Amino acid sequence: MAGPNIHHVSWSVGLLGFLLPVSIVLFLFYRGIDAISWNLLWQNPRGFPLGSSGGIRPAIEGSLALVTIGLAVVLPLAIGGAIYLTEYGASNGLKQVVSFCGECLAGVPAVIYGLFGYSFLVVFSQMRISLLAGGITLGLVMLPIILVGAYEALRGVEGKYRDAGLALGVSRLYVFRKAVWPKARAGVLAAVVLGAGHAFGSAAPVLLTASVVLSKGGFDLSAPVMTLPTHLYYLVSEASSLQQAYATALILVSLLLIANVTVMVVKARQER
Amino acid sequence: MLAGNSLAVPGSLFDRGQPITALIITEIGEAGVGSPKQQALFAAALVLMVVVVAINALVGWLKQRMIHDCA
Repeated sequence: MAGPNIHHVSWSVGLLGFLLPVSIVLFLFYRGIDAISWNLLWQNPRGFPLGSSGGIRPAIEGSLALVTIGLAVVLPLAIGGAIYLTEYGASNGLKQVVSFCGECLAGVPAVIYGLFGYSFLVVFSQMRISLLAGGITLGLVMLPIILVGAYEALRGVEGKYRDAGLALGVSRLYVFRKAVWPKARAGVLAAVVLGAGHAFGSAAPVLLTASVVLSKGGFDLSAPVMTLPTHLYYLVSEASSLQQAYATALILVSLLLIANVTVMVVKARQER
Repeated sequence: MLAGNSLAVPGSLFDRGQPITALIITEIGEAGVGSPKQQALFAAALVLMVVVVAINALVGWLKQRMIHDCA
């Protein structure tokens, strides 16, 4: 008797989980598609109140620049840390402490990273509200996600490959490069994109460390930038233009979807 | 932000309230560096952090116990 019921329940729960994100994207598409044009992608914001016409090019550039800087700062740390934990004989206690801290940090709301970045980088280190401060803060947002994800991916590689390699007398580095890394690469990449996507979409950390309502674009590390999530936040909270807000949200979601689909394709090709 | 963002204690499910995250983000812009208000907001963030760590510790403890029970 329980069999068919569980079947139905799990199907409907699965369907709900599928319909929810799809309907959000479709809704954004429905409300935002009219405002999407080349002008939106290539122009600076204009109009009064600001942002009610014109484009969002500085915001797109700013978001991409912030995530790039964050990745540049944090990728070596996160992946190096994961490699040390799995390959280079970290003790069980250390592994437990690090994964506990990683899980805690991954669960902390983004505002806390914002506060930390604001007090430590912006004020104490005198970076001011800038691309660099925001990039490092976003890097900190990504760090736990990438570290825990890469750690799990590397740990998923069976121990027999390492044992077989080490029994042949080659170095740990060689075993890692030739046997472990090719198997774990796709999983690590997925973790990186998950972290980067999370950082790309979060407004709170950049709101306090890097963003302004209007900038003309350009890549100056010591200058503030516009970002997509904060631009969205300003547009909605000032009620400047809901249509522009929907279009901005649609572009934000599309960029995230493109990144995720690209990784899925890469992953599928690797696994073949 | 959708919770209403007003400083009142909600009495029912349909009242407005303010989560700590929204409190921090709306108020920090008006708090001077080193002012009591800023310190209060950092204290609010500390509360949030402690709650997250406590929940994680609880889940970690449960996980350990489950693994222990299986073995």
